[in-house]
Amino acid sequence: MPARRLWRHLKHNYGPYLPLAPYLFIVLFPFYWMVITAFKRDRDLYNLETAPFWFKEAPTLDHIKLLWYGTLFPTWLENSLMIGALVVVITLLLALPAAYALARMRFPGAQPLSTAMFLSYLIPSTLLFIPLSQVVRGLGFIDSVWALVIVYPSFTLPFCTWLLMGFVRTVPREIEESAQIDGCTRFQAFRMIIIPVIVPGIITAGIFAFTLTYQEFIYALTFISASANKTISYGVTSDLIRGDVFYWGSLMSGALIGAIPVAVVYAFSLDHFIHGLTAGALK
Amino acid sequence: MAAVRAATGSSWSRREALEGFIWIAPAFLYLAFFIAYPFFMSIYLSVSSARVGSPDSHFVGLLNYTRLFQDPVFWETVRNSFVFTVGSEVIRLLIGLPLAFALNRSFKGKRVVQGIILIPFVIPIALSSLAWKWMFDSLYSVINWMLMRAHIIDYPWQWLGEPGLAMWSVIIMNVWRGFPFSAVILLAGLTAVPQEVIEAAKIDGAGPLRRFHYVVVPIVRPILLVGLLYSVVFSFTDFSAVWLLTQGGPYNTTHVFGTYAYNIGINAGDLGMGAAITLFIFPFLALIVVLMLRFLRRD
Amino acid sequence: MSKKVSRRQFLGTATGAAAVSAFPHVWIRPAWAQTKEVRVLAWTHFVPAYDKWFDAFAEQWSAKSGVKVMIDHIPHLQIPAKIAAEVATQSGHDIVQLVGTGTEKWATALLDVQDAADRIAKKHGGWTPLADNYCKTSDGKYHAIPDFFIDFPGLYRKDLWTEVGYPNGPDSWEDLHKGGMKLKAKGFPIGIGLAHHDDSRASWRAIMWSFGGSEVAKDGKTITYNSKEVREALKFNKALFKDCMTPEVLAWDDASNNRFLASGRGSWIHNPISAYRTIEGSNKELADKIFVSLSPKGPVTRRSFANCRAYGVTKFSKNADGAKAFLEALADNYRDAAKASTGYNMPFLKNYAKPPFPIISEDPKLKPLEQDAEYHFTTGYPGPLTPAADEVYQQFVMVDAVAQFATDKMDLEQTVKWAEEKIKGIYAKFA
Repeated sequence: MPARRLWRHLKHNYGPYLPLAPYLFIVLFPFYWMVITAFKRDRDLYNLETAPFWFKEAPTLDHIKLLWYGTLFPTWLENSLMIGALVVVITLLLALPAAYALARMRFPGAQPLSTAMFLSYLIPSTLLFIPLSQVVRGLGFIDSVWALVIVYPSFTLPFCTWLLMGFVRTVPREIEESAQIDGCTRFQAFRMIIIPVIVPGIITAGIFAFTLTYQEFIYALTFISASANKTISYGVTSDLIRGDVFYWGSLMSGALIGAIPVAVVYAFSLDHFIHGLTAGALK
Repeated sequence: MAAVRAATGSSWSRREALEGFIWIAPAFLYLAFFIAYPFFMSIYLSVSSARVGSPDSHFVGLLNYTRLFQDPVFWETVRNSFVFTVGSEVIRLLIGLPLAFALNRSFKGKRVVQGIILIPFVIPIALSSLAWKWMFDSLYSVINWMLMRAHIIDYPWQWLGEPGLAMWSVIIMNVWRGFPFSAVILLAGLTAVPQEVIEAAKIDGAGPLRRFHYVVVPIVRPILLVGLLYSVVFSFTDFSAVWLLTQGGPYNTTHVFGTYAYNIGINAGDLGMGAAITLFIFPFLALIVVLMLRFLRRD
Repeated sequence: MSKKVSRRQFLGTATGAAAVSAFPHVWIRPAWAQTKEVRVLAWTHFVPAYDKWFDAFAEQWSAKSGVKVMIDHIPHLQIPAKIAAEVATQSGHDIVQLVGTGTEKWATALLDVQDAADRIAKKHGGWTPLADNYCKTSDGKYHAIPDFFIDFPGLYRKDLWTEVGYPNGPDSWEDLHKGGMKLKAKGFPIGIGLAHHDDSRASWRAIMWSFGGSEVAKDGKTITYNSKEVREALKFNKALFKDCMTPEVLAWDDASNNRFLASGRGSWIHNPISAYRTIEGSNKELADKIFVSLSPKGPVTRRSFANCRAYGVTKFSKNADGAKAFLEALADNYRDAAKASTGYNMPFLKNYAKPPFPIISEDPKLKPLEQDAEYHFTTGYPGPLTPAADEVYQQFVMVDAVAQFATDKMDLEQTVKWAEEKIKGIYAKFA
């Protein structure tokens, strides 16, 4: 019976949408509303009578134009992406060797050091930002994106190291040991054996680091003044709120456009991400 | 294997002690400079009379701490931080679990759905807080608009103005931005459960609940631990979410450690007390972590 | 396997391209140490036209004087954190704008500019009492140059208030109460924020002062909260809240009363004219119905709250003379500045406080604002703006007290006790 087959086909391929529907609604509803707000005229927005979910007056591109041309939004986007990329690189460069050493090598103090690494993750940025600004100033980086590039690893490094440690532990010792017998140095074994095997972990750690960096707010607020050096989070909230007036249309478009790069990164790598978390945490 | 190693006189283990330090050196040097040093500076601040703009500060012992203990707003802050963190976490897990189950099957468009589900987690929190602020607005709240049209409420609720409700509002926002992560963690855990084990349990006659309890949970636990810890730390040390929504109001009923410390330390200028408040995060966070570890490592 | 490789390759080249491509501003480190430069930290003015004027003025002055002035605008709520970080690192802007309070709190980090202040006072008729209330620190000197203050008059809907018998708006708080009750019944309540934001702590102080009460005495040290006058004010506040407003005010922020008025529902708010200007821009017919009146008077006197702005020169500035010269030039050009602000900025200098005012005196609607400088005062009144008063302001003690009493969370005596203890605790820190 074609009807029965159709039903089964539908149920198999689209079945989960039923339980998923409420979640999609919860997630999409604010998102949809943000999209509408981004295109609504102010007069329409502040009208108590109109429905918030559609337009009474014609939609407008003015808010997006103000965002893109009237503020330094493109620069902020650039800054955020560049800072994110650099911080990921720095974090991985520091975390990979440390994770390997802490997970594999026996040396005095390895255990307390890895506990210290974990504990440093618990230290919040609200505690550190004043003393940290003295460190940054001492290095001469005040009010430049480099201040953020060198400071952000402070919250990505602990977590990524910890995550990568889990991954390193999943590699069976035998592989390394046979390499050792073949005459490899530890570093060669690390580079040619460990790293390729834990690539999902590296990707996971990288994505995490990027997300945390992209979202950060308080350090950006403290270390950056000039508008050209701002990041997305900080720039949008500082330049589109003028005391009394919130430029809601532009704020919402800023949020949406700002979310796109990260959404793209996640879309490409979600499988790795999940696979990575599974493998890494199981050990 | 170990015997073979000992026999061949492993060229690695001899230098292991020294080598180990070289490998971890870059990371730990960085941490020493950018976390340890500022951290100890903060401890020093908390036992000093440091004020913003004043170069002379002197050691005052535990004065800031005793003042804090006598401050009723501080204890409210402690309570709020726990309510905020625990409340958000519990709801996130409750919402995340069915979602993880739903995502554990393959279906058309799964990629897209996964991407969509992650949106709240991906939007910078400073910006999504503003969006929620507008959604909770005292006059233009779109949530009120919908609820009133649906006749669920008959007057506009003050999401950010009524003391108890305000805490719910910040929790709702915190849940919204965090549940994708919880769901992904749980999903990761579920995908880790090998199908054969489930099948074996089914054959043994275990119903879904017993399967869940005896098979799924033990495997999922370690992953849960990772995800939960991260999530809890994030909530407990939060600043921007609460600050941008309510700034700690209405009259201090939503102040958490981060926001209260900021208001006292920066706005009011009392750096010493601000540092003391944030340092309080540790004992409480350590308590939560220990409890979680104990609960989750029970095997 | 091949899919993975190509994805990685793609990401790799993309990152490489991004890194190599043009980020010129990143590679240039800002040169903080140049002496021929003055960097200013200022807020983003509520009236965007003012910032345009200010930036242009800075450019012109730079060209004339040979000292390059650069202005960074950030939201006023972020200025304290900014200044704190700069003071901690002893590097940053040459001129910082103080927003609302902070004149004494940051005095040790700012240069003594009494000389510049005296020169300005001489040229322009002297400083008003409000300027002293705001800027004179405990060592008797000015560590910041007052620039302008933001007033809090009443903005009212003439059409609605005429209906209830007050064609020129309520002149006293009592009138506001009587008329507000009637208007709330008609669906047009009044609104004064009762939450953690600037407008709230301004308005409720205005009411307290109008009733003759205060938190501290003229000496800046004796706590006077526990008094009959303050109790009267609290009781009035509660009545005003319950009879004339809706509970939404508990969730307000600085922009809420503007939106309230703009929605057409609000009949009276306590706010500077920025609200009116915004409505003028988007809803002309509503704007025509909105008028300005003096801030209401109480049984004892008429007082309102001034949210002040001043500029301090940081001690670590490498160009203090250039900074002072810039600020003096700014004071000379006050009238242009006030004009650019469309009548929002209010003066601190006696000559400028005499009519005719730019913009304000030309518009019959805004004429009441001419008297502002006489009855507006700021935090700490009747004493100076001490760090203790500053901290009471920052911790929203006044507002929380009123909120808790008005919503019946505490009764009158509990409220007074709670607030007094909190104030005493704060003042004790500075004893």
